Amino acid sequence: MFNTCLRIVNDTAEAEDIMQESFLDAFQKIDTYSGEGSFGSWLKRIVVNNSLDILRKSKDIIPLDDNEIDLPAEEDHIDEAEIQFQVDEIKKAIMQLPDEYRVVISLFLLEGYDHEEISAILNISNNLSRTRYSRARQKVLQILKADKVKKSFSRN
Amino acid sequence: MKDLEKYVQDNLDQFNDAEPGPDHFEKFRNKLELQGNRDYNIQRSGMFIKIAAAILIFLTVAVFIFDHSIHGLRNILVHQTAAVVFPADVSDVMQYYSQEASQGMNEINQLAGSDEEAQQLKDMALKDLRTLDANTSELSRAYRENPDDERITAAIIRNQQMKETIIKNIVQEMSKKKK
Repeated sequence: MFNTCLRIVNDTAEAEDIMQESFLDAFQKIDTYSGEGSFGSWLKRIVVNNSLDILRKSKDIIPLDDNEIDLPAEEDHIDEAEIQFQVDEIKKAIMQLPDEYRVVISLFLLEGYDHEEISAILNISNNLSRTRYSRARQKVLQILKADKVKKSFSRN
Repeated sequence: MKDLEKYVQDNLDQFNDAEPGPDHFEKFRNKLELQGNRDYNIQRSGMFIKIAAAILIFLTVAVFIFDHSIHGLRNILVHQTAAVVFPADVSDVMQYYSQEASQGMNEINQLAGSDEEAQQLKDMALKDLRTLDANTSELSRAYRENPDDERITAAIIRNQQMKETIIKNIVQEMSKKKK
């Protein structure tokens, strides 16, 4: 749960607070738990919603124009087979993304929500969720590739 | 599945290895105590599942706290069964919580009576409380090996406090149900 908060708000102290508050919230909202679905999923949804609330409040998010993110040109296609994936590098790359993209890629890739669920959580369309995920994913690959180039330069 | 997705799924544990800071527990406990003094608006419908879920939340917190307490100590946890002798002050604290737990369990037994749902709840609570007792045993063994490590003593006491909190909560919710 702590990691879920952290990935959304990108701030350790904030994530700790949210996790504490979420457990307490869960206790107060216990009468809304119907017993349908797993308890863990219900609790996680509270954690995710609280994290998003804090993110919206603390960062005063200006809705992102989905063409704003700087992506590689079509012809500059990134071959994933060329990239040697590493956990820390991927984590860092995700944390460099704008909030809207970081949240979608975290929810889909790491929390296991599908686009239907993400669109409901974020109150966006299913298509926008897919577009943001695709763009976020592409941006992550771009960062990983750039890091690889940087490293190979520093070795030579 | 594409390469990135496959890599993340294969290494998911490593993406979830961030730990909260050392003062996290104290803040958590303070908030928990404050919350414990409030009255909860649990409706009568589906009471059993809601109380069970409430216990589960406390246990999730307890397991989280336990894991956090022994993080970094796991390599010194050894499996030995000899009795552990605590210093007088720790022993007093343990005895206090033990008495409180015992008294709470008596109340739970009385409240459960012959009500089938309450009996189920009681059985569930007993099973889960045994998890906390197992935590205490594991920590006690660690203490025997490292009596000067204050982290272990603190973790033992926290575990007992959590057990007491859970028992109190069960008593409180069962009392509400009885009314």
